[in-house]
Amino acid sequence: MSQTLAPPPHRDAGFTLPEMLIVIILSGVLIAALATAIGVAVRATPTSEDRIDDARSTRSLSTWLSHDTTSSPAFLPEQSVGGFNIATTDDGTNNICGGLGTNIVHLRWSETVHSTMTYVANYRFVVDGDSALVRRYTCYSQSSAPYVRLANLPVTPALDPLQPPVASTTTDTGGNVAVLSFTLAGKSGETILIETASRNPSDFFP
Amino acid sequence: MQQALREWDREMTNTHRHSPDGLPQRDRGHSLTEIVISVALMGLTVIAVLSGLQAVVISTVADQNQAQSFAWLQAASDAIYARDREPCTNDDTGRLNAIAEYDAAAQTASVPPIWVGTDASVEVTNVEYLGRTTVDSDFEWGETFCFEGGSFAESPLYTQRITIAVKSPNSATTQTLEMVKSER
Repeated sequence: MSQTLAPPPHRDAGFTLPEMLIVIILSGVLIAALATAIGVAVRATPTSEDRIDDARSTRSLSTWLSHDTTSSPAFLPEQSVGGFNIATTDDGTNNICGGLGTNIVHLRWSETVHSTMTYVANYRFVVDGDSALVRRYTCYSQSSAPYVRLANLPVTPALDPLQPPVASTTTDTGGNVAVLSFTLAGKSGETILIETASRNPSDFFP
Repeated sequence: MQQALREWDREMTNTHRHSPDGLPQRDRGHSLTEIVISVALMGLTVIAVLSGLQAVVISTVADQNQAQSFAWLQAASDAIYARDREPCTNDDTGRLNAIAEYDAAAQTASVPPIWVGTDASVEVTNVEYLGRTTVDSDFEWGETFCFEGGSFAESPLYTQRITIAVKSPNSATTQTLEMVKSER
């Protein structure tokens, strides 16, 4: 009596190697197409790193420039008590702190408590090789003493050296600065605009 | 040695290379259950990776929105600061008028270039006055504390607190700033 082996039921046989190869190849083609589409979409939009850098530039300028502009009197050009200087070439008065690079905006004001101190905040575009950034130089002077450097602070991340920021002003009827506009080409391709104005002299609180 | 190899080969042939259905192990392929589990695991992995990428993009956009809102709020507050203080009146019309006037000043601040053409907005939402209910009570901010026309004890400082709000496109984020304004 011989016993023959019955063929296995089809549902228990699993997939064969050719079936699996076909499925894997099809999956690979689909994944390649999907990856290409995602790659194109990612390249067409700003990277997260660029957005973070732009947010950092915006936040830093909003913080530092706004407060410096608030402190400075609205005179343009500067007067003996201070004011604004947005000349991009060194005119002998817009680099009191001795910073590197070219001037974007130079702000100067005085504060008197027991003695009178004169403060300077100078935003300069500093190019270093194929990179550049905005630096904030600050210095002070008591009476007619030489100015003493306080800080040299990078305000932005690395920028395109061929696209320096631009400072411009709108003036009021008296010829003084009503609004200072600081325009910067963001890394994401968008323009960053910071508008700020003087609050010197300040409000009177009785 | 050869005997041992033949024994091993026989054992492997009988116990491992053939399944109960008689097919060699290497020809059986995978079962449907195995494939389903594999696909499900791959799907979960892909979903986790894409979710992480999406979270990064959303957080960086939110960070950029916050920075833009902050810059716009400061520009609007500077514009409000530059105009004269708007007086109040005993009734609420003065406060509502102050809100409208300060809002007009806030609108002179330029829209951030990245938001031009969107529904992003800046708005003055409230004006309050520093005052107190009685001479002996503590000072506090309130909509009804108005000096002009009232007693000196109610609002002696002419001081106003102005609330400005900036909404990013699609109202994704709303950021507010409160500024104090007095005589100028």
